[in-house]
Amino acid sequence: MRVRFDEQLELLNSELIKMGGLCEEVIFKAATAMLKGDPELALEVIPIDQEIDRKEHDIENLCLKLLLQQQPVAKDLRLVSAALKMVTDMERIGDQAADIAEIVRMDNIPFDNNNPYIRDMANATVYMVNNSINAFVHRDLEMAHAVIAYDDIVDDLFNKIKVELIQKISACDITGLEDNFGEIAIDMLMVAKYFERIGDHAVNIAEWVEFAITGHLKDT
Amino acid sequence: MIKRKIFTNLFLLSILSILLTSLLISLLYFNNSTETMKVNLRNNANFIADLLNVDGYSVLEKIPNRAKTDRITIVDPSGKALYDNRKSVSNLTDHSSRSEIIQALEKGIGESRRISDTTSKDTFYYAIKLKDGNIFRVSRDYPDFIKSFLASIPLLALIAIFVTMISLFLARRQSNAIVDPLNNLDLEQPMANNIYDEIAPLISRISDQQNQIKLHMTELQEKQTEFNSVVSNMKEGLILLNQNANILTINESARSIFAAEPGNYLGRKIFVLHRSSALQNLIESALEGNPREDVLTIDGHHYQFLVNPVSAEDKIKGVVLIILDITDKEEAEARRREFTGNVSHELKTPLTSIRGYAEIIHNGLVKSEDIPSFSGRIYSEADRMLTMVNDIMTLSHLDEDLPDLRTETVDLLPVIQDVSERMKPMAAGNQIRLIVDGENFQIKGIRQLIDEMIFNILDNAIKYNRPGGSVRIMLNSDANYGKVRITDTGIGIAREEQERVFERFYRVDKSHSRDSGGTGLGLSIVKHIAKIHRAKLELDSQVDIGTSITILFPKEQLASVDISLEPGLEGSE
Repeated sequence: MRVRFDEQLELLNSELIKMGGLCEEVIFKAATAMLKGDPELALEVIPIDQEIDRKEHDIENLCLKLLLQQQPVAKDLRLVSAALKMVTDMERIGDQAADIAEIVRMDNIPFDNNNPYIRDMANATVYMVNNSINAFVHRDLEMAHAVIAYDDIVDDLFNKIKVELIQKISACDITGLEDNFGEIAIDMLMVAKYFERIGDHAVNIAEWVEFAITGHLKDT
Repeated sequence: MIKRKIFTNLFLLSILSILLTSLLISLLYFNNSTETMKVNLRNNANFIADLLNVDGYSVLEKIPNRAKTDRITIVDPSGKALYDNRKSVSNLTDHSSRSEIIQALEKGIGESRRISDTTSKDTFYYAIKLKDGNIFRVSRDYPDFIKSFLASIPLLALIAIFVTMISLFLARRQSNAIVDPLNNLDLEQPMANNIYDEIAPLISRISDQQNQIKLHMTELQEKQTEFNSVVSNMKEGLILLNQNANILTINESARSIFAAEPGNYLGRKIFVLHRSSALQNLIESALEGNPREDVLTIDGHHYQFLVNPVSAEDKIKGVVLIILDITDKEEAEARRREFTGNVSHELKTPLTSIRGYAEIIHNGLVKSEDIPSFSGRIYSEADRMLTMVNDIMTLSHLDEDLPDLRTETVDLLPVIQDVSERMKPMAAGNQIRLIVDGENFQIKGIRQLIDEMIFNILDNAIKYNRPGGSVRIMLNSDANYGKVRITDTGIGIAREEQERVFERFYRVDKSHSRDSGGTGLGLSIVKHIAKIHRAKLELDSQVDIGTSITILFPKEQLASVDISLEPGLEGSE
């Protein structure tokens, strides 16, 4: 019985890692597609997102099975409950990456690659997702904390983008801008917001990692 | 267990011997006592009979009752009992038929043994004829064997208890004596054990086995060491997984490929190291029994993953993962493709324009006065092509081997002066001054190739110069090198391009404009020739200021040259 339980826990662990890997890939592809303005690459995001949805379903089932059949306690219970919450965040990351890819795929936005803020934001969220998964894989509390702290940087970048867009709009200097500036501005804002949300989900994952390790749940 | 067995045996043996002994002793004793009893009885009877003969029957009254252990009967010759000390005379039947009485009447003495009619016991009778004719008879119960034996049973039981205890004690001692040396056997050095001879065969067998085991162990260890050293020294990453994708073996290369943090990864999932879906797919399909390979990019390096299932008895037992770094190969491949593309492009362009001009002329669309200019273009394009084909041939010639070129001692200064003399007209056409100065030094080399090298460098220095500029050729030598430095005042080469100018067909001007008439192969040839002479090339350039190329002939080169270079460089260079 115990052996089976250990096997199932190990399976849960590796499934979570695999799902994390998919999240990294989906956000990396979405971010790269956006930065390069590559709609082909954006297309590749969709199947990964679907795979993530499937994985979420599988892992949830596995967690429930573990809870019902094995009635884990202490550390094991924390892992299972953290897993249940983490998959939700991972699934949201997949969805939002797909949303970004959708905007990129509409193709009519010549994304300004030289806008340093959006590029930094893309890189920062990729970094956050990577490290939140790494923190889980290595049960690394410090890394989890680093991810949580990094969220401020992403929030800050989002604000900068927002301010920049507002300034451009309120300058009313529409004549100097491209014809579809309105569309671009709104898409830009949305992409930035998606990145910001992905950052938040990475923070959530990191917090669940912390909970799984220490049992301490950060009060927000 | 052995203790109980020893105990049982000992116990049974002792009990049996005690029983038998006591039985035998009882028998012997019994026989003996019967005889004694008879003798006693006879003596007693004779004694009393004598008394009776002398003193008369009154004696009987005087014998104390306690002495009367025996039954005494007096019978008259007719067989009538006159006296009996146990029974009343009136109850006694006629004794004349008793054999002892008959014997006594006849011989004076008679004896017999029989079951007494009177007492119903096994009884010994002794009869004596007295002087008065009466018969005096004494009888005593025969000793009962069973009874006497039974009487000894309490004693036997006592002895049995004693024997049991002794047996227990001895059994323990004996079994310990047998077992302890076995338990304390030094299995490492069985022959060093000095215990009883009986287990010597066992010990020698153990010793044999011990040696065999040692032999096997050594073999296994050697194999393990061999395996480990092969695995840890191989440049390729190697990972063995079990059927659950847990790591069984991972070598250093694989760790560094995955940038694994130090730690123990054995028994953990491979996905802890790397979690891309590509790897997941590879391993999943391998666990389903399908060998796969794929190229994955990790940290900018390209790795070829070869994933093979390991099966035993029709079941997948694990997966072997071999990881090859193919970054260099991929890049070389890319450069080779680029080179091929370049060659065809470079050759096609002049051909196309030649064909174009020729077609126009052929169709008679050109006025006769324009023909010289058209044919001039055809000529110059063909000339360019010829130059280029020559250059490619030179290069491939250098790539292959150097059959008919002689190594000799070459004076550098005359060679350079010779070349610059030949270049003078061209330099003058571009309004460029050629300056040669410095002191001569000698090297061992191939005059023709050095000529070619200098020519190509000067050619570039003139072509990519600006009108009114200059090209200065300096010769000098120091302790380590003989140096030739060619400095121009031309357009220069941007820093990021400096590394690539020695590649074939690489041109600084991306437009591939052929205004300057270059083939893109000149510096490539220079590099090759320098390599043949083991000379180093130094490039120093600043955009719009000029370029200086220094050829450094190492000192030993001043003595000899090695023609047997590695045949052919990679086509990309």
